[in-house]
Amino acid sequence: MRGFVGLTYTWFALWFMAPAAIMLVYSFGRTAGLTQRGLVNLHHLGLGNFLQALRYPTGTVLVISIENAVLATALCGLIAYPVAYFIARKLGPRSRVIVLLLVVLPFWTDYLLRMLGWRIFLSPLGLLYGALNALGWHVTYISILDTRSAVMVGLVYNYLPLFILPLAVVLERIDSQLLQAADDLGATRWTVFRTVTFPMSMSGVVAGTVLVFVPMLGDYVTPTLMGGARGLMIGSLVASEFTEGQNWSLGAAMAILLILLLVAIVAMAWLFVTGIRLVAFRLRSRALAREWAT
Amino acid sequence: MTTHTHTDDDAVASVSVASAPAVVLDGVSKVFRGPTGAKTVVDDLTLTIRQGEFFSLLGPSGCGKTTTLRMIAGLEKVDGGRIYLGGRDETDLPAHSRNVNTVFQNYALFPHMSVFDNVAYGLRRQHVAKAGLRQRVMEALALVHMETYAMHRPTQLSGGQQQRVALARSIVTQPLVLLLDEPLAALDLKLRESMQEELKRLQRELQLTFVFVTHDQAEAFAMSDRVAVMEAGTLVQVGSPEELYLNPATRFVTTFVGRANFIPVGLVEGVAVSSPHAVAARELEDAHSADATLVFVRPERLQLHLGEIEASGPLVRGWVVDRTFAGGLTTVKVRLADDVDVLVTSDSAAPELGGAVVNATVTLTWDVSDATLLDR
Amino acid sequence: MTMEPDNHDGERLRILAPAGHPLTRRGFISLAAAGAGALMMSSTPAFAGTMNALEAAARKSLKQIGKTTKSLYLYTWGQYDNPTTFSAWKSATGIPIQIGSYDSNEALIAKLELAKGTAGYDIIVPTGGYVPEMAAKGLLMPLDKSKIPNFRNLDPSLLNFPWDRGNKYTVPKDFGTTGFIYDKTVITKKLHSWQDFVDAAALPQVAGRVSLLDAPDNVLAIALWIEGVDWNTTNAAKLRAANAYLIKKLAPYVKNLDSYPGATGGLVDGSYVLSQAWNGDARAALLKDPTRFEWVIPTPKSEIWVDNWALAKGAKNVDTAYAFLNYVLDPIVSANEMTYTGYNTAVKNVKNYLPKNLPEADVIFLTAAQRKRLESYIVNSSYNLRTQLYDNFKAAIAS
Repeated sequence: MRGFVGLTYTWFALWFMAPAAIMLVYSFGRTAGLTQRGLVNLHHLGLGNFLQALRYPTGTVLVISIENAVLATALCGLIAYPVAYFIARKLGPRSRVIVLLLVVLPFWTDYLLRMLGWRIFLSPLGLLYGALNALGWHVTYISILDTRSAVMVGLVYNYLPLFILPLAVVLERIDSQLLQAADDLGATRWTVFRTVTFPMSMSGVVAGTVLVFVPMLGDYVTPTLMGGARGLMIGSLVASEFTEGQNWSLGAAMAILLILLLVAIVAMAWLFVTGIRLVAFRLRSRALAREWAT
Repeated sequence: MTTHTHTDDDAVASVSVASAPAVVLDGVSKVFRGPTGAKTVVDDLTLTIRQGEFFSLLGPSGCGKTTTLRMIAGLEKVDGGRIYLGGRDETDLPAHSRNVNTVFQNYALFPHMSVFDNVAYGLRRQHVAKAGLRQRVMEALALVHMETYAMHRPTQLSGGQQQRVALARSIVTQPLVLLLDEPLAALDLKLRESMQEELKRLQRELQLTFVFVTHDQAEAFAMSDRVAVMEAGTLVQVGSPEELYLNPATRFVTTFVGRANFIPVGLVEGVAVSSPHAVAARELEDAHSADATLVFVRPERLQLHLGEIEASGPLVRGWVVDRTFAGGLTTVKVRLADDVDVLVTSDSAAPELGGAVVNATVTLTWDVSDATLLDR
Repeated sequence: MTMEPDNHDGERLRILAPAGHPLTRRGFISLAAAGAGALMMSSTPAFAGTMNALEAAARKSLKQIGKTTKSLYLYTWGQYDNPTTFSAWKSATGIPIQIGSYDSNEALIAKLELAKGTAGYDIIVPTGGYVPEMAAKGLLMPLDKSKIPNFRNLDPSLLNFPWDRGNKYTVPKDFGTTGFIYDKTVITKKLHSWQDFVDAAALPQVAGRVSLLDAPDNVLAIALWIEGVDWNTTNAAKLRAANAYLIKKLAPYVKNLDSYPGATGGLVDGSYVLSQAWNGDARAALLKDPTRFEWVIPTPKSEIWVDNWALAKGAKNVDTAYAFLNYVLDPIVSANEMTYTGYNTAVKNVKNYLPKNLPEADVIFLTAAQRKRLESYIVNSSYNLRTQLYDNFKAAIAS
């Protein structure tokens, strides 16, 4: 049985890792050129693609992408928290399932269609325009589409469920006896939330942040569909090397660098969070020990 | 918290506060409404718990004892009746406004805080200044011998240690009443016994009122000043352990409190019983309800005799089906007619025991004052 | 939409693309509209007449070839053919057509390269400029024109392009031009040249409402044409200079890179008032609001692009494919295609088979004078640099 499970993991790992491994190999190759067969020439391996990948405008676009991803992740968190809290702590088991289904419902329709739906909604003379005018709020023109704001709308909309779900799971798992204990010890509802519920949900917040931030940074479909040329993000540059650039080896190098960057960001965030906790803990222990000794 | 000032000026106020019972439940009821209908879990419960008392709520699971505790804590709303804490009607106060702390069954320590912060939690809610807070937290931890674990996380502690921290967390604010919800249930036997002593000691030292919920009679008797036995949401009997043991009010209490024998009146020869009902068995034989009446006798109150002997008092006859040696005492199981089994406990050194082998015919006698007549 | 049967002119197609049909270069997201159109068509007697004519053409093509296999695999652009062209073929010949679609020539090349001749496709539709590369990579099969009698129906001026001398590998399918379209109510001055385009973009009422094609070669072409540099140059310095010009003169005013400003509604709803566009897509905007927009094929130069039928190396159903190519070169089939795509085909006299008074026909059909200043781009060794320059341009717009 254990052998079988191991085999299954290996099998899946193989299929998950294979594309990444191919990209890694390609990133050291050289583009085949117009007259050569194949896509990537692997006879001359080198780091040229990586150097090329670092040239302008990668850095500029990366900064824009990180700004977008950070802001959209923060917005996701701000919206997801109350929703997840409501689902996990205010609903009964049956209605919880229904509401969670509603949260993931948009995922049942095609991604492209959802984004086109938003385009129709936000278009200059579209549904939002109509609705606002019908409500007596007269606007001549909705100019959200094909801006960074529209990218933000798209990113938040698309990734919000990925933030809500892990957060709801973590919030649901908090033993309500802990909240009662806090209440019992004199904490008002807000204090219970501030001192128990929220700190205990941090793992969900972290999971949601990672789940949302990582794919956001590499996303190029949402920025392309919602933000047009003004919503350019790093994913589009990578994609363009695979498409109009016909330069798979350069695209692969950019993708690998992006993966490394994400790993570095996540690792740094993790180190930062645990580091701060560790240092604070050490300081307090020392202070306490000193005081108790006297 | 009660102030212990002894100046003359404060004497009156101090006495009036001190003299008020810690907890008064006045006709308290609780109904749980579920999809299948309403169920009354606590029914018109009236109870007074004195200050400084170690009081236990004893009963089987589902008898409403935990619900009662939670109503005192304010964690559960009452559906009827009033709750007075220290003489004040606090029926409608939320848990965080009541000067009552709870030790939960599975401790409910905050896993994201150190032991220190857990214990400091209640003090921080009272905005106790930093220096005093440290002092009081460490004192509370010292009381439960956990001062060296201040910077540990609860998850790094054993069950017994967590229990101690939970205790420290609850007593550090010196509440009017400390509620303990089967706090020892999760501990192993040895630890449980040492914790019983520890709790008793704490309660004495701190002069706190403890309300202790348990389904374990031995535990309740070992620790409590008074015990309330609950059955199906109602209070059956309140009294000291001795009163409950010797004069149980109902068959339920007898079964719940130590081992008991129930002998159908029809099997008894001679005078069966007296008091508190003061009814003679012979009179009952004529009575319509004779078959529905039982004689209740504790195993250690029965005397074992070999063979079929006659006696002036009440007696039953049967044969030995089993015997269990437990150090100083030996328990013999005797089967009477109609397959009624009776336990008799004797000093292991008693001479009759030598002949009380399995299948030996025996006669059991008892003093009428040691037996009680109960309705079946 | 006209659907009146015209008994006096049976050869002429009796259907017309419904108003609002997204006539684009390759039918971008026109699925819903096309479906609605097909539904309306199929319920008319005229539809039956057209189907009969198409089926007759299919049978004739099959007969000329003789023996064929019983399947055909087509790999083409999405929504780039009239569904009735396929359904008539199937009902007449009994040979089903399996269709796969791609959205860029690069995707087509990548797919064929990765499959190494085993992709299973018989017919593919590359754009002219990519043909030399594909031929060099060995992805194409030379054509035996004796098996395509209808090849003679083709307009000689649309054959023998530099990318495929002698049409060794390709048969033209559709062709069109790149130009620009502007909103006359906002830009009152008449525009003629690419220089006019760049100048107009900077006007206060126009800035921020300009769209360019999302195609690196078409965007860079604007600067190259203005500066009089060969569009096909490989001179890095000249390419860089052209891109720098675009970044300075156009990037600040560009709202979006949008290959379908007409079909997706950007022009009509006022998001754009000046858009670089392909003629078919521009016509979509003109059909919606004929008086508001002006279509320009700019001076000094502009593009003629041709999408071509070709046989993929490793094709299994070669004879069936020839029969199909012959079928689509039949004028009645070609006209049927035109009504759907809104693009001109290279079949001579196809006009005669189209409905009369086709709206905005001058956007579809080129004059000789226009034809003279059009040229084509062939992918060359500068393509990596061009991609990089385009990325720079995109970054300039975004930041």
